[in-house]
Amino acid sequence: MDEVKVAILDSIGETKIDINFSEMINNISKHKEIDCTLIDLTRLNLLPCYGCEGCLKQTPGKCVMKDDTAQFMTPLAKSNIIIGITSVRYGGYSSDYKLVADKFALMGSPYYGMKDGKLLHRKRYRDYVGYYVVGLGTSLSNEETENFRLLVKRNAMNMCVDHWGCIFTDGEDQRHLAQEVLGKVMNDER
Amino acid sequence: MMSDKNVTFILGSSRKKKNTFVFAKALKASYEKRGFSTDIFFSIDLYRGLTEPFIHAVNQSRMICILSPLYADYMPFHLVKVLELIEGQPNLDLQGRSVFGFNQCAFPFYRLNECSIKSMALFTRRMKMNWMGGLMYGGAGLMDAESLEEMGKKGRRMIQAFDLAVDGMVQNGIVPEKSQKLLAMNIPGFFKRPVMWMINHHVRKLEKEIGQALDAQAYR
Repeated sequence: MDEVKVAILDSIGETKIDINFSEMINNISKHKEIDCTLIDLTRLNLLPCYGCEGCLKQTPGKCVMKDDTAQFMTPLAKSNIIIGITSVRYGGYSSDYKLVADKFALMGSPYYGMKDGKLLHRKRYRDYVGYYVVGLGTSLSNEETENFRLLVKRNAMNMCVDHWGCIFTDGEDQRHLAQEVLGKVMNDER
Repeated sequence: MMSDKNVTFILGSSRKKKNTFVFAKALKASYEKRGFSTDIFFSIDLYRGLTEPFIHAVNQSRMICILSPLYADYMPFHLVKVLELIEGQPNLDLQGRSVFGFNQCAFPFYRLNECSIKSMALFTRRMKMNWMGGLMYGGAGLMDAESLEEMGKKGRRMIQAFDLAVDGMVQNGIVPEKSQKLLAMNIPGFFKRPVMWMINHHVRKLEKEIGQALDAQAYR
């Protein structure tokens, strides 16, 4: 892989919590071989997935909702690594992040294949190989972090990616967070 | 005022008359034959803001049942949003209520619902309510019925599972393990490949019907 393309799905944004994720992006971009795109989900007008199957039959691979889905799907379709940023709610994604995660189905082809003994959707876009999620929360219990980890693992499995991970943060040490994310993404063997 | 005989259902379906509703009808019937009254609400109607009838129903209920389909390995967006809104709603007095969770997915592997059920339990405890237990069903993609009664022997087993669960919840506030055993469908591993062939055959057929490639890279 010549240049790593990273798409960051930020469901927290600047408005709710004072976390400067642009610092993280700068850190990642310092590595010359990384092309990073930040998508501030809080600025997009997104409608929920209604399970209408329009993306299967009407406009194959494309959400039929008249909203900003293309603004995050276009960079995702071209990326190698997807990084999600969400608050941890009840050991899972926040609703703000889940609004987007519900549309991850657009990343899969309707055709199925077998991978490691599992029956999974084939990839619609071949380039992405990793899925990582930053979970923001204070005093998270083991039950919460374990459930969150399982959710990210299941999403990664259904996206047919081999590399996945979670990083939990209380949002205090942004520099450390940026380094940890960068380290995890770059150190996984590909 | 809370009544021991009221139950509020929160359904996480986007499509109101599909599989989750079919399961909800069976659960509702089990409660009603024991003299309970039930109210059904859909999270798709509540995610922009909790309505007065919903708040009133929850405040009147001793039990809350959350039923959901699986969307991207978890509860759908609007159900998560409704749970967040409930947490932030000062007019809701939840302490002392008991919660039951049910999650279903299309694939015949019920354990895929684990994350959702666990999150329902974590939500319940966070709100200082009592978690009565959860049930999971895998294989709803093979269902094509308006009620479980139409599904013959398999449907009767599912009704029995819900009835046993309601009995346990009403008697001692716990969903018995046997309910999950009745709902579990065991598909042998060697069956996966023929299932794959069958699905892919249907996709190819659909492609021919609509005259478009269904695996198009639409966002490139």
